[in-house]
Parts: sequence; structure tokens; C-alpha cells
Amino acid sequence: MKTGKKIIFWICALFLSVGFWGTADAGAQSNVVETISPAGVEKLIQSDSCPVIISIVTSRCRACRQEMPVYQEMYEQYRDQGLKIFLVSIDFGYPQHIQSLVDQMNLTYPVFWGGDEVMHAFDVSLVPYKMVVQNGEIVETVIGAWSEQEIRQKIAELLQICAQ
Amino acid sequence: MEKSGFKKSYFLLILFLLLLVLGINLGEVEVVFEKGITICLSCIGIE
Amino acid sequence: MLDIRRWIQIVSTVLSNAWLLFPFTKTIYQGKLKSVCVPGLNCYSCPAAVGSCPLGAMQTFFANIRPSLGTGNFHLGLYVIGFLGLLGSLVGRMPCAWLCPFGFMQELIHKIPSPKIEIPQILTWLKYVMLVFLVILLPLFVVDLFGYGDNWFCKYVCPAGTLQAGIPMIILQPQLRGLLGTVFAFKLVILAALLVAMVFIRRPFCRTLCPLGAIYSFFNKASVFRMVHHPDNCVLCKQCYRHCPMGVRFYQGANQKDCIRCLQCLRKSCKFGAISYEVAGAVPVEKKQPVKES
Repeated sequence: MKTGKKIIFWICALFLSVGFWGTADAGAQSNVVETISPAGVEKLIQSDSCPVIISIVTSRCRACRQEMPVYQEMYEQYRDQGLKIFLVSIDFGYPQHIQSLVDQMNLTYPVFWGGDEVMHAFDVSLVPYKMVVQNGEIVETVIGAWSEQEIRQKIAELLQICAQ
Repeated sequence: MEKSGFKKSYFLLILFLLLLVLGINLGEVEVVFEKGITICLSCIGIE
Repeated sequence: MLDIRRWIQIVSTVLSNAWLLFPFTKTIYQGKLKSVCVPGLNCYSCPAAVGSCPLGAMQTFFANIRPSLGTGNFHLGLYVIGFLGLLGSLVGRMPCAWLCPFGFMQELIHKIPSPKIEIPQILTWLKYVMLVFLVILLPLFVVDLFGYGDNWFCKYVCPAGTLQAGIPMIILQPQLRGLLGTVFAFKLVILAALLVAMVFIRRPFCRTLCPLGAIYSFFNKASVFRMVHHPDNCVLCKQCYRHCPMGVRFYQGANQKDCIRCLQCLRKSCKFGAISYEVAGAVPVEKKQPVKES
């Protein structure tokens, strides 16, 4: 019996200790994450803006989380020049995780939750996964993260191409 | 070997079976599934 | 004739990695089987894997525990803990010897002829350090601003992940090559060092680094299936130690933490009936009769 009790004790102690290690407080919920279907994502692709970046993410992927605030910066800076950024979460089951991230990061660009339907429809098996769209056409799909610098560079390039 | 030494085994067996069932009821199967089919690149050392 | 254990190892390795269409799909298997953990160490980011890695799944639960609790989902990893505990309390470390693909590979590589060396006993405690820190504490407590942790063992150490997921994915998806950094280089070094070590040392990874083996080893003394040592029959010939794939000195006692119940000593080494096993206290029929020497 002793071993069993010890194991129970340690498991309980572990989870209790985690409870006291609080998370950051969520900000005001202003940008509500909307549920999107694969058809909805198609529609996003076909919007006639230039350039459009559709970033498919999961909440628990560190690289994805690191890109989100950089997009926010870019969005604020360049949305008047036609830049559109859509974030689509493929977290399974529920949108709460991505909503909580949106609130904590105060993201204002459109964020959607597509779940595993979108994941299967677009054959995404590695995140982060990005689609670069120009005038309704996917010109590039990117697997893996971009650094802050790469995002800046890429968006500057795209804006130039679109301006022509 | 005395038989009582195996009470511990049965206790552990039932304990972990209960944990397993509890985990399944909390919806953890889907979490494992999600993690299993989307590779998080930073999780395998590629960033 | 191939040993029965080899057959089971082969079948288990093939079943754990049964998705053979990956050269065409260029990516991993995404079917429902992935919601079930395999008993051995088998990376679920491997393009061929059809099940999940219990160790990876466990770290994911721990690393995401705060966001999960924050959204009202009590995902504590009990599914994985229960699964491993259930297996452990039934057979202890037996999956290491009979089912684990990475263990199987180590045994095969060790067959390469070379001088064999033994490691200091103290290194075998390193796997508990790995378990406590890289699998449990660091994923739980080193979190970012949003409460998410990292899969420390998978990310920084796991050689099975490097071999089964990292390298194949880089070959299948050339796009990823631009992303490789120091972390991956570090993991490659670990893998290479272990591959070399496997030639000279018996199961070096299992004995020194594997947190999964460490988890199972807690159950060795308390499992339903147990080894038994009969000191009265033991002549201390140390044949059991010589043939043990884990370098366990069985003559010093049954059910040591590194015993993986491969039964090699019972079936191949001991001629004196000093080794047997029991299931829930019952001695199975095939027990060897002790050889009486007068």
C-alpha cells in the first residue's frame, strides 16, 4: 500500500502546485474569434485584396504564438495599403485557447477557429503553416516559422509587388 | 514468496485503471490525437 | 530459428510504424489510431508512426496544463499516466524488452562485433533526473507569458525523435531545411553519440537516459508479473549478467530497476534453476527444475 499512497501524494502535490502558479490575466474580450469552415477559408483566399496572409496555427505551438504579435504590428502599419492578415486556429474541439491568446495579446486582426475540419481540408500537418495570397490566388505556402525580421521583409516585398 | 505482496499490485492496477478511465472521460483522448496529427515544429527541435 | 522475443520485437516495431505511404503523402499519418499511445518509445511525429508516444503526450499535457485549466478543461494527462501505470503494474519494465522499437534497435546495433565496455552504475540514475526535470518539472513550470510550457525532453534530447521525425521530415519537406538551428544540431550530436555508444555499450539509452524506462522501472518490484531469484540454487556463475541486454546483475536480487524482463537469463543463461518468474504469486508451469549438485 505504501508505494500507492506515495504515488497518489506526489501526483496530487504536483497538480496542486501548478494551480498556484497563475497565468496572465485575460484582457477585455473585444475581438471575438469566429468559427470558420473550410469553405469559409476558401472565401478568405478569394478576397480580392493584395497581399493577404492566412496563417494556420495551433495555440500550443510556440513559433505560432511568437508570430501573432508581429502580425499585429504589421497589420496596424499597413492595413491602409491593402494588407490583410487572417489567423486560423486548428485547435481541436473548442476555440477557447485561441480566444484566450487573442485577448491576452490584444490582437485586432480577424482571427478564426477552424478546428480539425480545416486541418484536413487543407492538408495541414505541420504548424505554423502560411498561405500567401495575391488577388485571390495562393502564390506561396510556407511551412515553419518566420522570424520577426523575415515577416517584415516578406510583407514589404509583397506590398511592393501588389503596388505595381 | 508470500501472497500478500501482491495486494500492492492489485491496488496499483485498480488505481491506474481509474486514472485512465477518468482521463478518457475528461476528453484527453482528443488532446493526444490532436498532438499526434499536427506536428509542432518547435516541439521536435526545428524552429 | 529466430528467438520468440525477436519476432515480437519485429512485429511491434512494424505495427508501431505501419504507415508506409509516407513517401507519397510526404507527411505523417493522420488517422484515428493516433489517439492511442504505444507502449514503447516511438516518436509520433515520425511519418510512419500510427500511434502516439506516451512520453511526448505526457509532456504536452504538462506543458499545456495552465491554458487548459484556464479554459475550464481538466486535461491533466491522466489518460497517459493511467495507461503507463496500468502497463507498469501488470508487467513492470517488460515493454522495454519486448515492444520498444528503440530498444530493439539498440540490441541490433550492439551485435556489431567490437570490444564491449561497461558503464559506471551511477549513470543509470541519470534517467530519473531526465524524468523529473525534462518530462515533469520544466514543462510544468517554465512557461511563457501565456502559460504555455515546452516539451523539454522531445525538444532538446529525444534521439528517437531526431531519428524518426527530425531527419525523415527534413528529407520529405525540403522547405524545413532553412529552419534548422543549434537545437537540432545539438540533438543530432546526442543521436550520433548514442549510435556509436550502442556498438560498445549494452542499451546505453535505456539505461542512462530513457524517462519512459524510468517510469516503468518504478513498478518492477510491485507488478503482477515478477521475477524470482532462488539464492539456494544460485552458484554465482554470473552467466546471467554476461548475457543480460541491460547489464543487470540478477544474482544480486530479482526485480532490480533496470531489469526489463526479457527472460534471457532464465531461458538462455541459468543452468541451475536460480531464476524463475511468477504471475500474481503463482509459479507458471514451465519453471525449470533445479539441477542438484552434490
